[in-house]
Amino acid sequence: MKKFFLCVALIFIFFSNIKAQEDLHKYATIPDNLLKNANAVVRSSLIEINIEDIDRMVIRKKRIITVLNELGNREIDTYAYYDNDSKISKLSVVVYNESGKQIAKYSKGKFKDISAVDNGTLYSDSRVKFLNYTPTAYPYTLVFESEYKTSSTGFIPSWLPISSYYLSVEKSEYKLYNPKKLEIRTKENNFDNYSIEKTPNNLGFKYVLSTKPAIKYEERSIPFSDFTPNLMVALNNFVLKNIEGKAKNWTEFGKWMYTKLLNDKTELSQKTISKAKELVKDIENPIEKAKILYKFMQNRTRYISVQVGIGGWQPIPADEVDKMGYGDCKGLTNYTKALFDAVGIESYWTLVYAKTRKDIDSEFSSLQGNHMILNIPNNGQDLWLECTSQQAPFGFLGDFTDNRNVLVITPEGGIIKKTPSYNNATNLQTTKANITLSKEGHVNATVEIISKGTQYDEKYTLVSKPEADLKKYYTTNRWSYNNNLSLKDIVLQNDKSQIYFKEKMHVTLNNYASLNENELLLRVNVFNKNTLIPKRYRTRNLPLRIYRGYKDVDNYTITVPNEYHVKQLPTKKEIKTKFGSYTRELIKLDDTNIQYKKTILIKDGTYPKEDYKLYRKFRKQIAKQENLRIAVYKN
Amino acid sequence: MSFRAYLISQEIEFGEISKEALLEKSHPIDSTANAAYLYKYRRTYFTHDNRGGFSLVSEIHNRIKIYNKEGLNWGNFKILLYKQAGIKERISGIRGYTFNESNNKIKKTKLKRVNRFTEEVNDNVIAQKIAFADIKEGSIIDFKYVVNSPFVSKIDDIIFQYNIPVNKLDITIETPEYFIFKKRSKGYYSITPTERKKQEIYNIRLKSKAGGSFLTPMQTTTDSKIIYTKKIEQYKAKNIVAIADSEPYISNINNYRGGVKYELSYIKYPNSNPKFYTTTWEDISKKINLIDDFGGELKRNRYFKDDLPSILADAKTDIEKTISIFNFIKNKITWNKKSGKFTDKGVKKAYKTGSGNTADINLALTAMLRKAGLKANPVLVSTRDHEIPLFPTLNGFNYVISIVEFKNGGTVLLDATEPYSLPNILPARTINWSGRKIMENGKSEWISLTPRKVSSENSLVKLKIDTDGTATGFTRLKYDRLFALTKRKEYNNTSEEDILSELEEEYEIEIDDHKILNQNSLGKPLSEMFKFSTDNLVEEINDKLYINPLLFLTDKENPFKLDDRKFPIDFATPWKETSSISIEIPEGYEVSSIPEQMAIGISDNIGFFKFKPVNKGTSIQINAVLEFDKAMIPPSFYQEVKAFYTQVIAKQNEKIVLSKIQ
Repeated sequence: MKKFFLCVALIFIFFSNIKAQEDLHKYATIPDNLLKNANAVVRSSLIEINIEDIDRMVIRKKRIITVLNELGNREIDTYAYYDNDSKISKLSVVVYNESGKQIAKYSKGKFKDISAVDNGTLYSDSRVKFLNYTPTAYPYTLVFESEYKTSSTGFIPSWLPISSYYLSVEKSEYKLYNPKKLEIRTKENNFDNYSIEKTPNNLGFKYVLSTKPAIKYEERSIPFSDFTPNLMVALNNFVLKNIEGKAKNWTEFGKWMYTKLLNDKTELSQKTISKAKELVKDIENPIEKAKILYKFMQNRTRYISVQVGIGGWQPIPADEVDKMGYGDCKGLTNYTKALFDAVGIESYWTLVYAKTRKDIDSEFSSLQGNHMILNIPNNGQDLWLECTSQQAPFGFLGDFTDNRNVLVITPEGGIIKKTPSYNNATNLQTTKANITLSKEGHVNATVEIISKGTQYDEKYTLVSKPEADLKKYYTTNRWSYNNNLSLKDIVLQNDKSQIYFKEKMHVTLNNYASLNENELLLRVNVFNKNTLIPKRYRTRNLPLRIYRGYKDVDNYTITVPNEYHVKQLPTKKEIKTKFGSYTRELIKLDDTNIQYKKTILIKDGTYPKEDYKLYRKFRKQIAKQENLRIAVYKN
Repeated sequence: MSFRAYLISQEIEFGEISKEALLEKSHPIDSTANAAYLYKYRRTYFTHDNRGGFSLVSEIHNRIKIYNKEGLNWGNFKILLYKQAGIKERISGIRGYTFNESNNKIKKTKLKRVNRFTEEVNDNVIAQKIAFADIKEGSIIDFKYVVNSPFVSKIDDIIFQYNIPVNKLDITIETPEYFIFKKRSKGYYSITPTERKKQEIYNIRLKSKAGGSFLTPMQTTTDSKIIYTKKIEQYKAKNIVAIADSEPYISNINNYRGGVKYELSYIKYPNSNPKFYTTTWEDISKKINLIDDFGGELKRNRYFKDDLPSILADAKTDIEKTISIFNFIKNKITWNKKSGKFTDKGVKKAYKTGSGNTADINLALTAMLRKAGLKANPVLVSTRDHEIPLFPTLNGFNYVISIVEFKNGGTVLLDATEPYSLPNILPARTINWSGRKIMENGKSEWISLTPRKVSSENSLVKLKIDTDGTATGFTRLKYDRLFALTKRKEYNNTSEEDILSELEEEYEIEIDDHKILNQNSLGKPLSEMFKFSTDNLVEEINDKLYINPLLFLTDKENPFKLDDRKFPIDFATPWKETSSISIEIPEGYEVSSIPEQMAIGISDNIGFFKFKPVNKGTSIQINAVLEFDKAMIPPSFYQEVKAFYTQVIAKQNEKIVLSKIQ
């Protein structure tokens, strides 16, 4: 009976919308305030989720979008993913011209069906059906309808009513039916400042957002997802690829993952266990042991991603990784843990959002994260291991997973912890150079650069590059602003225990200084020119965020030819702002020797939009100093 | 038997490797190599079932050495298999080992079923993916498999050069006397094959009546022996250098990769007429004219019949008619971004629905031009991301444009897929060597696609220096031909604000009053004007002002940084940049020095640079021209071009020096 009632309800809703929808096919009915800055306007978006049972969910979507120009085409999103436990039951696109006349119609059979394997993955059972629509004129309105059924309820689609920049929203609706009254939790993020209406009813709930003009993109700002609304929804008891799961809170979720997905995957062959024990037999300190086994793992594995079924959430057994020498992040992390287990080092699987900084939500337990790392509790001095890199130093996360909330899976349940952050002066680069100028204007120099923190992260993989590639890197990338550059005696040192990277080399720059009658003109910052100037915004609407702070210290001695001498040098320059500081000093050591000292410190942080101008001014002042040139004169 | 064994046996035994190779730390010749093919073997031959059907078999054996962690990806393989209308290529006999050194012994790990994945990429392609187990630095992979293909006309291209070196290459192509292939070398590396002939015997069960033709299954069954000759071509080489793709102005690295292409020209069985695929250009043009999706489409003209009179209403001359029809088609059918020499939807449907692929659009265009009485023909083109057609081939082309020849001898090339294109100004994607004009009478000829006329960027800047070292001024930039097309495309897709930001970033100036003129007036050059201010252009050192004569238009970096280049420099079009700068001398200053004038050139009239500053008393006037009259410059000129650029950059970076009047 209940089901029958539900059907009636759905049909009723559908009919009640019909009249209004015809109007939505016309360009002229778009309110003026939604046209500004918009490439497309979502006229109406409806997501209807019916959780029929713990292992049955139907998702129906209908989206009417008016595309205003070519850039708006990327918003039509005429695709639907599916895999082995979901089935697309409905898929259609209808296109209307400016005045609302139907000009094209595509049924399910017209959609292309391809494998949805991304570049980083070798194999996955995920597939996608998509339609490539070529617009013939703008504006046009496209109605995309889809419906799919799935037996996994672990991921209930979130509601992101504003899905991108330059996209206005006339109306966006999210309806959830929960006829069986399964225990469900929701979390509203960034709902303030948006006109969102919530209507609960005895079958579930409904959210509506209306009339939101497009947001313009601005660089150096907070992530889109940090200020636009999103609704997270999760069941306390769910099914994921035929496995029942629990997620009332992180403790319960962690216990479930531990017992159902992870715990029985760490078995290793007796041979490998003996090998692991053999490797660390003379060592007492557990961290020293872990370092040896981590290196052992790095040397015999490579990263390959294969995702089938529950494989998106469960590692392949450690024994298999051991045999094949490859695995994805879960497989390699789990293998490392298995090696640690074999010699009695305590460690735990850890879920994290990698790359773009994002926290695992500490208050809302659900399937979250896109990467796995390994945690060693180390008596409260947590250590974190990235197991997919063959080169990363022990305990080094870099900007891939630093400074964010992660979920550590222990037998007692999931625990939220925070990874260490690499901030500001931690990311230090010091450059020392002895620079000799010839009377023809050529430069001969020895340079030594030491990098730490994320500046280490950016460079340490250079160590495995062959010399020809290195030469190319320095000439065309790192020092591309220097013409006629050649290098020799390149010595690179990756100190994995102290975690610093040292570059040493000999550099020549032909015709570096320009000759002008009786003077030589040269730019003093030869090796670390930092002239970044943020884009100018006539009006800035979003806050400023500096994502990563750093500190660079340059110290050069410059020797000019004997036939020349140094006269007066520019005075010391010091700039201090809340964004960081800059000092540049030129000291005349004697007639032919100059010392150049520079320190730049950029601090990470989020600042109100009014500060953007000030930050830009700061960087402009720095850029000017970084391009500073001096003249030396013929005797 | 022994003879046969000699022919097919490989010199390198599968599954057997030497310990020296395993211990090798870097490639002995190319120390930059992350990995190398120690051995690359392929044998492609024809096989037949007892009903007489031929199919194509390729036996592959690759042996790869991995030197460092960057090379670990060479342990993953992807083999693409095609299927069409129910018939498909099949892979079999997959065998592989990973060899590693372990305790001074060779450790051998077998490739297993779990290391293989089959992916249905789309309706026509299946990918067989393989991830070898136990891959690490130093590993050697031995890998063999067989691909059985029913598509007998398609012998995969032979490739000699890869991104890693090949130590030993051995490729054999065996073709029965019935199958006649044309072959042509490509790229900057070639191998001359050895050729021999051999007789082959096979048993065939013919179900045929007396008089039944060869290979045609008929009613009664007879067993018979067939003897035929096959041609064996073997390509062998040692130490083939790797090819690198990271230099500026390369259109498509695959055009430079050494290799051989095979194209089936005809099949002739005994006692039957030959079936021609392609042999001569004439065959190709005749054949394509008969194909409905090409020749057939050119004959259709009813669908636009009613529109034509009004399109031609105001057009009197042939040129006016051409332009009128060209503009009409550009507006009528939008390109769906798909390339093709054959129509996708068909011209009629494309015309009706308003979108189509290149053939839909340009064949409709050609048909319409013909109907209007013009001498119009399609021109087959291979785009820049496609390879260069080397010999009479259909597969070599992936695009079609149109040509009109006027009575006075003039010609125009037309591509109506690109809204900003003009007669004779094609989008860069189509400018790839030559295209083949296909005429109605089955004749064809090469048409050069490279623009003959120079595309230019013309800059005018007036600068005024203020007492505080900031500078303000006015700029007008003008682009024509291909440069205008490219800019128009870019500006069409970019908001005004982004255009400003990009200019501000590129030139390090702040812009006001920005205007774009003639964005849609294609007959005129595209031009943009703006006012600017900046404190970056004038440097003050010890009371003197230093200024780059070309201001923010100064080229600071030499685009050619590498010591050596093996491929041509491909600019797509001849081009020139002219700059006309005028700098007002500020009150209280005088000219202390200005750079000397200069005029240099590259031999064979490839290009030149002229630079002339003049002190006019109250202002300095600088005129500069950088021009390349060749779209494509052979690698033998690389050093000269690089040295030329060094001089250009150095000259542009010499300073104007102003000093305070004492």
